[in-house]
Amino acid sequence: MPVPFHERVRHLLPSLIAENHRITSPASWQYNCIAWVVGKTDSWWWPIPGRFWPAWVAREETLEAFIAALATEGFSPCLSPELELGLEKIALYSMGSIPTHAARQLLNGWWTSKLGPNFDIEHSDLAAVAGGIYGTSAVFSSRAITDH
Amino acid sequence: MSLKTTAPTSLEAEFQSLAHQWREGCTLLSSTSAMVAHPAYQAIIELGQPVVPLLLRELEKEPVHWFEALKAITGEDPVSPKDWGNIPAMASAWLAWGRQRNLL
Repeated sequence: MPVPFHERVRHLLPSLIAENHRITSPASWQYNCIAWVVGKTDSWWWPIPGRFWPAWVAREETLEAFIAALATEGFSPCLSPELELGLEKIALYSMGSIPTHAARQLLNGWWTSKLGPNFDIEHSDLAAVAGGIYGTSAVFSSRAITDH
Repeated sequence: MSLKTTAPTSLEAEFQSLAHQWREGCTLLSSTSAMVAHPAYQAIIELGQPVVPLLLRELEKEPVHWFEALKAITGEDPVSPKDWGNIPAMASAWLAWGRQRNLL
């Protein structure tokens, strides 16, 4: 019997358990978490030469630059990750001040994450993928839900 | 992070061992910087020019992010900036580069 995904990555994501997530896509090297939270599956976003980064946004691994990149897709900083009617929210994770990961809130209050070159998952809360290699959710952005 | 030591019988075996360690090490990473900084990725770069055909062959099988290694080893970059982040297009550019040089 194959070892479940969350057990294989326990050393990397210690809070992920069978009950707090489900896998929702095949693995892919074509897009990452930053692309995924803004609805893209055709590009890998990272602020280094050789990966997509929005024009005019600083190519630097800082939360400020990532917030600015999300702003190009209509997201603005907000204070809380709480579910709010009519708003789509993104949480940026960091280890110290270095961004590591992003997750997007779903209408039911769960979150969706692309795990590096691995799967997309839906997880019950932000803590499910915190505490390991992604560090903690540090800042939040939101935009009005429309037909994006 | 430390590299597992093996007794590779050939360059290809050494490359495959390092590539496996790298894939395992970056299985959840979005950060290209962290992927490239991984010791196994750096060790692949240190293998130098002889590993280029192996990288291209791997890239042909699956568009895994070998671009930075190829760039570091060859000193070339056939990827147009307009294709940065478009992984299939980046892979195609490198594969065309390799075919032009009979490396594939």
